[in-house]
Amino acid sequence: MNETLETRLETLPGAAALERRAAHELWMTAPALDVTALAALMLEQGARLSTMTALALEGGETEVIYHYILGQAGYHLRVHTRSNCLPSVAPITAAADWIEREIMDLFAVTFIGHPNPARLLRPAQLEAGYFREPGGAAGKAARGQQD
Amino acid sequence: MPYRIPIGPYHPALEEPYKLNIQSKGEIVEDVSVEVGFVHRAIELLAQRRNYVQDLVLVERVCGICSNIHTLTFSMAAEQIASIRVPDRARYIRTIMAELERLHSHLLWAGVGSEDIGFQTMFMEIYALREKVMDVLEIISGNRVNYSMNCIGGVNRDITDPDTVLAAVREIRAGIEKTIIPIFTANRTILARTRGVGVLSREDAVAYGVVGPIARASGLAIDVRQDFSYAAYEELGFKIVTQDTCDVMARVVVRALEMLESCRLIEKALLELPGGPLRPSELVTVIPAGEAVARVEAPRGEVVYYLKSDGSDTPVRVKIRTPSDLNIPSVRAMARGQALGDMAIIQASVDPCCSCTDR
Repeated sequence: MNETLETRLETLPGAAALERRAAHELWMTAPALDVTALAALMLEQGARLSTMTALALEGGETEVIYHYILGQAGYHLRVHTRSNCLPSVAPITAAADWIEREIMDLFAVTFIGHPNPARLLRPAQLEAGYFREPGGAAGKAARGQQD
Repeated sequence: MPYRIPIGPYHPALEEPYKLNIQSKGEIVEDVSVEVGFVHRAIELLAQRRNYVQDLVLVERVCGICSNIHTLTFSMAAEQIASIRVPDRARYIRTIMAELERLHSHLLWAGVGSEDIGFQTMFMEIYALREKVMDVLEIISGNRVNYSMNCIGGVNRDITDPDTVLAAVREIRAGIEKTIIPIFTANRTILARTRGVGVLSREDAVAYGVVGPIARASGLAIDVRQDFSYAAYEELGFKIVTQDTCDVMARVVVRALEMLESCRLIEKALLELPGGPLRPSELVTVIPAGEAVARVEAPRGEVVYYLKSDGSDTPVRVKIRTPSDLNIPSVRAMARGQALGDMAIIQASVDPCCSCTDR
């Protein structure tokens, strides 16, 4: 693990303490984390953006987890949208281009400053955000599904 | 005056649909954009409407080539949340299946790539060899495509006749050594069409976040089998293959040499196959509340699954990131300044999978 990087991650604007869940996996829950500062730091360190996971929250907001990898360590940083918007990191990290477009398409999140905010998977005339329905037990209850 | 040339979504180089919009000035490509989504099936959404047992069947359909990898990664994420220890024999069988899948995927790519540069005889040689891999997969699993080998906690089927599989894999290795390695590394046609073509610099490889053979051909020594070891790779002693010329040739060589490493891993795993159970005695149907990220090295590179459970029999969220999600956009960096006539092999060198990308 890279102790310098861990310290710098924890001092980013809006950051919280990192939590070690396994030998090589560090997690942070920081709803207001500055994701552009995060992207710039990770690029400087040579980390790659592995992917971003979106999860619908109540009230129309979305939780987005940025999954980075540096060497043999995974960094998972969880943020929340505000008015279902987040700053785009695509101008900093080319890998974010399609990832953010997919989340815009499936979860209706707006990534402000994305260089090409076109739909990735579905036609533009369809309403964005059709992946926002609940899963798990809540989804089963909403669908009236029996065990 | 620049020209705009659309290729696809249905086009001669691939069986799957995606669209390349090429902007060229004369014969030189100035820029490229890629459109996907033509086979989007909402598998992630469907996965949160089904239970864990049904999801194994579902995620195996993400991709027809690396189907086994998807059930493996999904199972690993669930096992991580539930703290399930996979039996040793199952770990070895998972490794053997993963490497057989890599062999057939790399051979499929090598055949398609040969055809793209007009090397028909090479295509036929490679596909004859690939058939032998498919036969081995059928001997083990009973299936040529969706093998249904993985379950949460282990594997569904045993390898009952390791000697037959070992003999077949040795024959495949001999074919790779005799035909593929010499032709892919020394043949004039291959060298003329691939050397210095479609360069993806190391810096661009990091920026685009590319994975798998694309990354390793650009000098990045990344491989999940090495960096986040799983199944039986640590015991078997995995050896990474990299090249630093960053061109189509490097991608060809990486895949060719990786096939030999796959054969070595399969042979060693078969010789050292431990005894013991294959899976838990009871079918795992409910996963405790929690979340996990699992990674596996698919033939095209790192596959990532994020799984969140609320303790019921149905996941809250299944996020699937396939290697082609990151590799296909890098075609843009490879194509700029290249000859129009090389676009077929440049985009094929990425080994793009639209079923994976669109999910």
